[in-house]
Amino acid sequence: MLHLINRMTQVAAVVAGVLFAVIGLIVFYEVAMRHAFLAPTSWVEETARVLQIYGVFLASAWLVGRREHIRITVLTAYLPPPVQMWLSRLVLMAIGAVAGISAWYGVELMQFSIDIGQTTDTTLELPMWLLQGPVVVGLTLIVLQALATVAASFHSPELLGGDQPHSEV
Amino acid sequence: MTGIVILLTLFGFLLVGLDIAFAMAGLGIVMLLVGGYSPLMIPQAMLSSVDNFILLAVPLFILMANVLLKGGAGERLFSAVQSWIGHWPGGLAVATVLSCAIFGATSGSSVATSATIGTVAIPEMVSRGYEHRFVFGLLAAGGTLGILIPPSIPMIVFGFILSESIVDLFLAGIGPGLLLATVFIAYVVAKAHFGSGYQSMPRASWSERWTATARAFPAFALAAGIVFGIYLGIFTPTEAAGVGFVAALIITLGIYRSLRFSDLPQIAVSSMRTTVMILFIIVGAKVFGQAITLYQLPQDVTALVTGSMTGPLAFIAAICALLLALGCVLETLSMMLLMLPIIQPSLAGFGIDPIWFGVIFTMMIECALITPPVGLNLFVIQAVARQTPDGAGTTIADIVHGVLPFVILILITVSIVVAIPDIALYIPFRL
Repeated sequence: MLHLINRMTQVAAVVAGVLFAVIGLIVFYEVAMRHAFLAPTSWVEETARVLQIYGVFLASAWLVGRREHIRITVLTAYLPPPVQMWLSRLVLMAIGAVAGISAWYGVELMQFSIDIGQTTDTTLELPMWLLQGPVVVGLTLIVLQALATVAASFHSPELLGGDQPHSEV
Repeated sequence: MTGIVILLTLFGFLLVGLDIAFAMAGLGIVMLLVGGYSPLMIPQAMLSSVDNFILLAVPLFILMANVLLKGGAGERLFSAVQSWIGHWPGGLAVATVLSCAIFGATSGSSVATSATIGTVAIPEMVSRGYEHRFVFGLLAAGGTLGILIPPSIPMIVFGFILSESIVDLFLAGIGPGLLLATVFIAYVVAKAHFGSGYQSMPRASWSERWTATARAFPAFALAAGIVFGIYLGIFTPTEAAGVGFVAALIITLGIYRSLRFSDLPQIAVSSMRTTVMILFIIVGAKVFGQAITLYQLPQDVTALVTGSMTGPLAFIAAICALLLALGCVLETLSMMLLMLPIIQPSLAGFGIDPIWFGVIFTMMIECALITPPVGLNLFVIQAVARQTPDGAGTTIADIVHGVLPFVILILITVSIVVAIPDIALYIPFRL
């Protein structure tokens, strides 16, 4: 089960990596079209924003599984290893709860948008569920990944985290 | 009272090791549910946080920096600068500062700048007899120029939170960035003049200089193109990042041929990782920000602060002191996302220019990046130093020792920018 969830979040992360590169290419395309051909596009800005939503939410579960979201370990690093382990499990359960509650209301919001046929207020008029979908899917993947990591940590405690991750800015 | 409980709870969550994004989102969710507000605001806030064209500059500048980093652009920049001034007293140290400033103009990231220039500069400087601790401190501090000289990822986030112009913030960073680089250079020249033990570089011949400059020219041109393109209004910061990313690919794949297509997946994944780390904190901060706004926490803090502070300078001094202290325990981005929504109304209350404040805030973040125990650049330089021939035993204490004079120099420069706001504001508003 953990293997399947890991595989799902890994595939989602690879897709996210590709999406960010695609965003770079289409934003360049927009600048080139506007300046070189005097033909600005009407789809690049919104498409890039939508791809960013997909990228961020699809990849987040992968970072949860690898314990790579940024956290403060100044204090916890001094705790005895068994306490650290149980604290990490609690933290992962809390992450699962936060993502689960958000996903639950995300489904409700998406259902509401579908019911009223809500679209974006832009030239593309995309259905709102298309933007809300990745939020729900991403948060659900986080719940699954957090629970699976807790379960697997009882025989593989190293899954609970290594070095302190940094934002690299 | 409610505000204090909220902030203490958040600090509690953070200190037990809960991921920052989920700590902020979780507390925000609890506040919204307890306060009886519509829970649909939770996914709505999460979605709206990243449904933003300005924030797209973050992943694109990260992609550009990673392409240049893996493509060896830093080494070429350093060689070119070194060929011109390496023979001066302290010339290698000056070349290091200048290379950091120039690479900072292509990366927007202190880590990328420290790591890239550090990889080439540390072995070169150490082999020429420069004191190890001084070299480590110089590289850790020099890297922070990357977030002050545009483009700058923290400035993008600052502008996003306060709804201020990213272009103005970028342009306002140029003057203080150059001033800080000058202060660093004056220090390293003075240290070289009064110190001893290092060997000067032999003077490079004119043909060596032109060859090195020609090799680095595309990277120089990219840095200049980004800054002038934004300044002249040819493209927005996000578009500059997109153009910079594609230009970096052309330079490293086509001109330098230092990157292979097979390297691209690794660059994409590593950039995605950093991007999601940053943007997911913004997702959590948006939920928290919405909740504290509904609880009127920023207004309460403003009333308290404006009532107890004597004026804008006292306010700025207090914020700087707080940032210096918080920077020792909090990661820089979370510090911004935690503090800015709360103090934003106070800026208006004191009549403080938010662009000027943004530059001061970014400079204080530079300090946070090099102060222990969580200063990120310290760890970056330790990792780079340990890969050098005799640097295996490098400790964080060595780097902290070397970096302390630079922390003082940054604080002095902050004081100058506070005293003379035009250092920051002249280029965006009066040029």
